[in-house]
Amino acid sequence: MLRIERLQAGYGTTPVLFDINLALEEGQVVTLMGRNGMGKTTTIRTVMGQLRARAGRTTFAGSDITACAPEQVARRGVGLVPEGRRIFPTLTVRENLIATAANRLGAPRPWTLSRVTELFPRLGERHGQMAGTLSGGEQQMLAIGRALMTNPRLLILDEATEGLAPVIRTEIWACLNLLKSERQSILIVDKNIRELKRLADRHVIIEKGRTVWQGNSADLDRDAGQVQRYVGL
Amino acid sequence: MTDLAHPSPADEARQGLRLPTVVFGAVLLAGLIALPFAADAVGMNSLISLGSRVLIYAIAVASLNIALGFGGLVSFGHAAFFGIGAYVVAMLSNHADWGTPFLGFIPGTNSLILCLLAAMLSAGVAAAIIGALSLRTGGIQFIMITLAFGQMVYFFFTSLSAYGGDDGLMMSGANAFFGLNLRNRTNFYYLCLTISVAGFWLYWMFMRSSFAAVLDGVRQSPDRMAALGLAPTRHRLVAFILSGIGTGLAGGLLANLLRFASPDTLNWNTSGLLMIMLILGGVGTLWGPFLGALVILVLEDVFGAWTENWPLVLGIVLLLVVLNTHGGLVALIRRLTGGRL
Repeated sequence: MLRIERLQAGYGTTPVLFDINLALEEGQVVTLMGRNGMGKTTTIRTVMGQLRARAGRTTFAGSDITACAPEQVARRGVGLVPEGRRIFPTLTVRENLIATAANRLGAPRPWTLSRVTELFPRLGERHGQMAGTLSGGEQQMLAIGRALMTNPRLLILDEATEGLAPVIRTEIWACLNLLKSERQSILIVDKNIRELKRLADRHVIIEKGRTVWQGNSADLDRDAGQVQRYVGL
Repeated sequence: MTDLAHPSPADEARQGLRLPTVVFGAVLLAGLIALPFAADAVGMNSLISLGSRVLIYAIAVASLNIALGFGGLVSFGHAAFFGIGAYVVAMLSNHADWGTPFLGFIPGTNSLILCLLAAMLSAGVAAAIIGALSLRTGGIQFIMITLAFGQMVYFFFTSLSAYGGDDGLMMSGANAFFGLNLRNRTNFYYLCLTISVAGFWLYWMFMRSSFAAVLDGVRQSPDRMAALGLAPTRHRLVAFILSGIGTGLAGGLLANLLRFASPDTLNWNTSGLLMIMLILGGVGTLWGPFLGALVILVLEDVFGAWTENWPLVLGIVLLLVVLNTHGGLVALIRRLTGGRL
């Protein structure tokens, strides 16, 4: 479904990605791991079209999206939950969810306000509240709910549990497991290897802008020493 | 950085029709309806024309608010749309008098409805062109490029000697509207009031719409909105065009009120004036445009009679309001009423 081949990108004159390769099939959960500054967010930004690829190719659902603008990538069915809970602070919870809601690809069981509220009951209690006044965890739930309301074929989560209270993290992992059971394709960047091992079908490790390791959770255990070196946890 | 303590666009509208808002609106409307009678009773007929001007400017400022308050587009070229509205009305009326078609093929008309529609259409087309080019930029560049376009439109119209050049374009009378005598200031005032109320209702509907929420989102972060599948530039352009159309309507009404299209309406001072009215009233608010237009035009009327240097008073008022209210008169009223209004 998503295929990244020999992707290169960077900021200004500084190259950041040198050789990123990744494949994600429909219904799969794939993780992107690596230490800080290795290019995880840059990879996601390049896939989303927020950053122009200098070389390489990204295809999604059979079509080349390498040169697409962010809104075109999103309209083809990629939903992003950006790093740092970037909700719209002066819109209410409801407006955050509804303003950008769409079912462009005709999902048979589209996400609705009530389905999102079912997934995150805390949001239901705060429909009329300004999103900027929510707690960090609630903002993260809102960011996930907002992405789901666009009915994405692929959901990308960048550091979705970073800096959140343990109880909220547990809720978010539970939600991601539920999404997986509904065959939602997910590409996730996170640091919690234990949860990622349980959730994901495949793992991709990047180091200094290159894909250096790929495998499933069993491979991850087998190559623990190598993974430890790359991920540094 | 977004400040949550300040009123946000759509903040009032999203609360729906709360009782205090309805009461405030009803009292205001009753006051506006009663104004000509009150003015007659105290023998100050000039108040009626002042009322018309307030309503006309309120339409223009509310329109600017769509671009500036919601879209975050600090346009210093809105005088162009205001002036285009005024000139189109005056030109069509004059061509109707002369019996010659405009540009050789557009027949002149004295019909108010046709003139105002033409004013809105022309201002909308101008906004589409100016917006499409200006929205390639952002920030300071956007301000400068809209200012540049505004000045180009100003010099274009003042160079048309057939249409009065620097002197502006007189109209032989106000437009015709179902046999109503629009030279009568009370009739014209009620026409303005009707259009303003309809415009206000549309403006309120706009504020409650998803489109306004998306615009607000685009203002907060265009990248975030794009990542959700909505093209920021296209939404901004639509907002800019809507804004231009509303401002053009106000310009067309002003030409009818003054029976004159003045080059001043195209001057960048007018862009600044509209912006000052909006900032004074409250950017991104429901009542702000009206309050801003009301306070500034009344100040101009009162202090203008005393001294030529009335803008000095305006400057002091603006300073006080901007520095102390954090959100214009609307924020001040909210604070004074404990958030009930």
